[in-house]
Amino acid sequence: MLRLDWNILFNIINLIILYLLMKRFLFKPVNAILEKRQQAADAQFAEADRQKAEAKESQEHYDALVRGAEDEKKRIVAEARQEASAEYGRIVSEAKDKADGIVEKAKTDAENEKAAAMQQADAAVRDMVVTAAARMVAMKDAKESDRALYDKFLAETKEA
Amino acid sequence: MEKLAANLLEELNCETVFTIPVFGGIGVSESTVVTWVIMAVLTLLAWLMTRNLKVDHISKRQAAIESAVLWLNGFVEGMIGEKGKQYVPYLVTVLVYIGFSNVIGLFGFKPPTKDMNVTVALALMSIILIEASGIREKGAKKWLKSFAEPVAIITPINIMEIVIRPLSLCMRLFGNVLGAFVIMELIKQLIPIGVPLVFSFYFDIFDGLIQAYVFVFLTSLFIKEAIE
Repeated sequence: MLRLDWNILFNIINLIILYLLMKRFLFKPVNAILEKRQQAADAQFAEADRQKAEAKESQEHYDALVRGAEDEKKRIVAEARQEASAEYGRIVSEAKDKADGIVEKAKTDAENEKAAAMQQADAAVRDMVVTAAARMVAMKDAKESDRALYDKFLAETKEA
Repeated sequence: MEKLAANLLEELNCETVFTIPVFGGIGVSESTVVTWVIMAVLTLLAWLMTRNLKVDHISKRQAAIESAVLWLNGFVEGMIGEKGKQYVPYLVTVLVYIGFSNVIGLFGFKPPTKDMNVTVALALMSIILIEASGIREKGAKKWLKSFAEPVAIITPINIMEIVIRPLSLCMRLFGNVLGAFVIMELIKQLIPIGVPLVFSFYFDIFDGLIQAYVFVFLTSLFIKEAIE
């Protein structure tokens, strides 16, 4: 009971061995698994963060795309509108030109016709005058027929 | 009365289990052998409990050992502080060992802590750990200087503490366990039925665990003091 001997040494050795055994069979595996779990949790958190960042990034990307599409649409519509209005102007001016041309042509044609008709009338009058003159000349020889000729002339002129 | 005294002496006596036949015979006492048993049981238990540890979907067994280890670690770490983390496994081992030793009387063994050889061994280990931790933390020169702190005049007292601390640790543990053991034996001799059960709860279980706690608490306190 109160005897101190070699057993002190034995018990110190026992304690050291027990410590090493506990370290090997209790603390090492338990701490290892806790560490592993911590790492797994950390990895999961990191993964979640990474995915969150990724989602945000793609969200931004698509937002930008949508915004771009909107701008593009506006641009296309504006362009089309501009083009359409240009085309409209062109068509209208073309039509106007054409109409002007037609009117001009009609005018010219009418004038030409008028001129032609005048010319024709001129010619006819000239012919008549010539004919009348010739007849008159011929009548000189036959004064008796003057009266008849005059009547005839009048009749012919009326006909014409 | 004669018989009672004889029985008591018989119970108190730490028998030599066998003798190693060198240097004129080294007696290996009962306490050493019981310690071997405790070591075997604790190791086997640890081995059984820590087989097939998994990261998730853990078994109840794993949950139990994990929370036990975490609790013990946290318990000792709370006493020794963050800086003394490396000494936690040893202190937990000592805590479990002393706790186990003190209650092993319930299983019919003689508690090893009733033998002063065991408590001296524990106290020696403690004082070596305390001073070693101080030297490791401060370096030999500063450690030597720390004996003259806070004032030079108490240097002798500080030096005496190297002896007093382990002595008080070992005597406290030894005295408590021995005292509890003696009282329990007396009660058992006088009234063998019923009454010992009630007292056993206090002397064998409560006091035993308290002494384990006190031993580890003081050792961690001294280590904490040494590394600060």
